[in-house]
Amino acid sequence: MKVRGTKLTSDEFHNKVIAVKHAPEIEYDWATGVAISKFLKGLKDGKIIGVYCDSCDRTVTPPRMFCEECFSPMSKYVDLPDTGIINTFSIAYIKTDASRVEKPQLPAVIDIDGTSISPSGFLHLLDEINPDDIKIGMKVKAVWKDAIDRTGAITDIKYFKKMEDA
Amino acid sequence: MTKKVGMVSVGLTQFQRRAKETGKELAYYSAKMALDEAGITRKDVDGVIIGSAPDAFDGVHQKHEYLTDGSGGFNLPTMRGYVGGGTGVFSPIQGWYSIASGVNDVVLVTTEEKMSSVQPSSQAAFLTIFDNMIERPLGPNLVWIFALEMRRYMEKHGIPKEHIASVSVKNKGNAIDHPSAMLGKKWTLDEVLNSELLADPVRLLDISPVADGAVSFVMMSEEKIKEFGISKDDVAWVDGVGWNVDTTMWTNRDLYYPKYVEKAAKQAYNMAGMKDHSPEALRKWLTFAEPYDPFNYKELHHLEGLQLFGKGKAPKAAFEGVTARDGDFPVTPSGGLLGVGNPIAAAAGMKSAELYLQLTGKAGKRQIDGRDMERGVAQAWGDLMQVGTVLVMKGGRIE
Amino acid sequence: MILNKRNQHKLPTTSVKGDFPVTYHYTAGIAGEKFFLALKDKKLLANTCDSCKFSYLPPKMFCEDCFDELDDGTYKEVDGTAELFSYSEVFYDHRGDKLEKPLLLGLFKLNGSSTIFMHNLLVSEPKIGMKVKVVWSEHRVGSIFDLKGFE
Repeated sequence: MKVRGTKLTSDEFHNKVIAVKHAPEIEYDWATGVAISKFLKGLKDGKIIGVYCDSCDRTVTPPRMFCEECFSPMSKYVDLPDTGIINTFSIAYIKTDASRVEKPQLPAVIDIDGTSISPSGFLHLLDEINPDDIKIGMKVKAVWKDAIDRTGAITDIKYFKKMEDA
Repeated sequence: MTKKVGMVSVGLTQFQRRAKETGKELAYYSAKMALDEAGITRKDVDGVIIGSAPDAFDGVHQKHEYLTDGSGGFNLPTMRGYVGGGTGVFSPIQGWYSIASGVNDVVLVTTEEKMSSVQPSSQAAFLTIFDNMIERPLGPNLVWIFALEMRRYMEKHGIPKEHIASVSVKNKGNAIDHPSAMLGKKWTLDEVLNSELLADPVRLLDISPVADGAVSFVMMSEEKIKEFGISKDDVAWVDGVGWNVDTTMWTNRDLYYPKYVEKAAKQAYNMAGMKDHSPEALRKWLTFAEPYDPFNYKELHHLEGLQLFGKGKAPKAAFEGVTARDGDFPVTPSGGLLGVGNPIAAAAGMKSAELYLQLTGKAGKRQIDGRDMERGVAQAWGDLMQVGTVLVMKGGRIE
Repeated sequence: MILNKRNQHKLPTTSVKGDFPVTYHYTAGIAGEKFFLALKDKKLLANTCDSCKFSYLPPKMFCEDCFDELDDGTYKEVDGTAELFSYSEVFYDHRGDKLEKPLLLGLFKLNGSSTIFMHNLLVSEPKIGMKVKVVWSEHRVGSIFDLKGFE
C-alpha cells in the first residue's frame, strides 16, 4: 500500500515553502442567556445558584433554562451553599497555548453541596493546598473575591480551598 | 427494508506533523487511492460524504465546501457530517445510511484534517468549545479535561498507571507496521511512565500527536458490488451502526464511564442481531476492535463502554497482553491515534479503514494471523467528550 | 411561545466578550507553490486536464471533474491577456469600514484558461467584455500581490 503526502520540517513549513499567515480579527459577544445570567448574577452576590426540576425532582448546577432529561422548562432557581467535594482534579503544567508553567494550576470538577445528582457542579481551580495532598472526595469551600471586585463572572470565585473542619 | 452495504476499498495519506499539501490535496490523494483500489472512477460515484472536525483547525470556514472538489463531490449530492473526534466513524455510518436508504448506490467517503494550519498550537482553536461564560475564563485546555477524566477513571477502579501506560507501548509499537504512521516506535513502559508530566496524571507519551492527513472509503450497495464484479474477498459488510450523545453539561455526569459509548455500541450490536452483550460473548463474536485512543486511557475506557470488558477490567487485560495484536483479543492492531497520529476526523477514519483492511486480509505486516477474520468494531468519541460512534463490519465471506 | 414571553421582560441582557486567539499558517500546496513561484518570474501558469481539456488558473493538483492527477507536464504559461467577465466597485472593507477610495474588483477570463480569476481592475471606465492585460508589481515575493491587477 503506497500512501502519499509531502512531509515538511518545521523550518521548511515556516520559512521555505510558499504560505500565507492570517490571524482572524474577530471578537465575539456571547449572550449569557436566561439561566446563566441568573448564575452569574448570583456569583456577583456571592452565591452559587442551582435550578430545580419539578418533574425529575432534582436540583442541578450550573442552572439551565430547560431540563435536558425530561425537556420541561426549569424556572425554580435555588441558592446553594458555596461548598462541595472534589469530583476529580488535575495538577496541570500545560497552558492553553501548549506552553509550560513552573507552578502548576489545579483544575478540578467540584460537586456542589445541595445538588441531587452526582456529580452536579462545575470546573474551577483549587488553591491554598499542596498539590500532593489533594484527594478526590475532599470537602472544599469557595474563596470569593471582595464584593466590590465581583463582576458577575465565574472568576468571582477565586478558587476553592480545603475546608478547615474537614 | 434497508439495503445491504459493503465497503470495497480504502485510501490513506501519510499522517504527518506538517504536510506541504493543502487540505483538499490531501483529500484528493486518499479519495483517488480509494477509487483506484475499488477499480472505479469518479463517474461511477453517485454520492459523496465529507467528514472533517472543527473548521478552526484547517482555518477554513465551511470546510465541507472547501473540501468538495478534493473529495470528489463536484456536481454530486455531497454532505458533511461533523461530531468532533467521533466524525471518522460517523462518516462511514453516513455512507451506510445514504446507501441503505436507497438514495445512493456508490458513495465516496473522505475524512480529512490539516491541523498544522493552526498556530502556535491546536489547543487555542479548542478554546471556544468550552463554555464561554463559566469555563473559558478559567483558562482550560483539552489536556486538563482528559486529566480530570483519567483521574476519575483511575480512582474509581484503583487502576495503576502502569496498566494504562502499557497501551502507549502497544499502540506505538503496532504503528511501526502502518505505512501512514508518524510515530511508530518501540517504547519501554518506563519511558512512557517517565515522559514529561503535562497535567497529572497525563504525561506526554500518554497522548497522540496532532497531524495532517486524510482517509477515504468507497461504499456500495450489494447490487452494485455484483454489477462491478467485485470479489467477496474484497468486501467488508456494514453489520451494525450506532451513535449517541450524552449531556453537554460534562460536569454533571460521572466521567469514569462512557455511557454514551455503551448506548451506541448496543445500538450497533442489536442492529447486527447480537443480543448477548456480555464481554465474553462479544469478544467471541468480534475478532478484534479499534476503539478510539487519542489518550492511552481512552482505549481502555472505550473498551469498557463497548462492553468488551467489564467496568475497570480493561487495564489489567491490556497490561497482561490480552489486547496485543497476537493476543486473545487484538485491540488497535493499526497502531491507533497514539502511534499512527491524530488528524482528528481522519484519525478515526483510519480506524474504520483498519476494520476493512483486517477483514479483507489486506493489512500487510499488521494482519492479525492465526484466526478467521470474521468481524470487527471501530469506535470514536468526540464533541466535548460526550459523543460515541460505533461501526461493526464483517468479512465479505461471512454471510 | 409562553416560555419566551415569561422570561423576556424579567431579565437584563448581559453578554460575555471573547476573542479567538489563533494565527493560521496556510501552505500553498503542490499546485499553489508552482503558481506563486512562477508569479515571482512574471509568469502566469495554468494547467490543463488531458481528459477533458479544462484549464485551471490558478492551477489545481487534480481535475475536479475527471479526478485525474495533473502532473508537471500539464502546466503552461498563459500570456496574461484576459476578458473582463464581471466587476464591482467596492466601498467598504471586510470589517465594514468605509474605504478611503473605492476599489474596483474584476473577474477575468484569461486567455488559455477555462476558469475565472479575481483581481483588481485598473481601468477608469470598466465595461464587461473589454480586453485587459495583467500588470505586474515591481517587488514580487510569490504572493497574489505580485500582480497589481489588470488594465
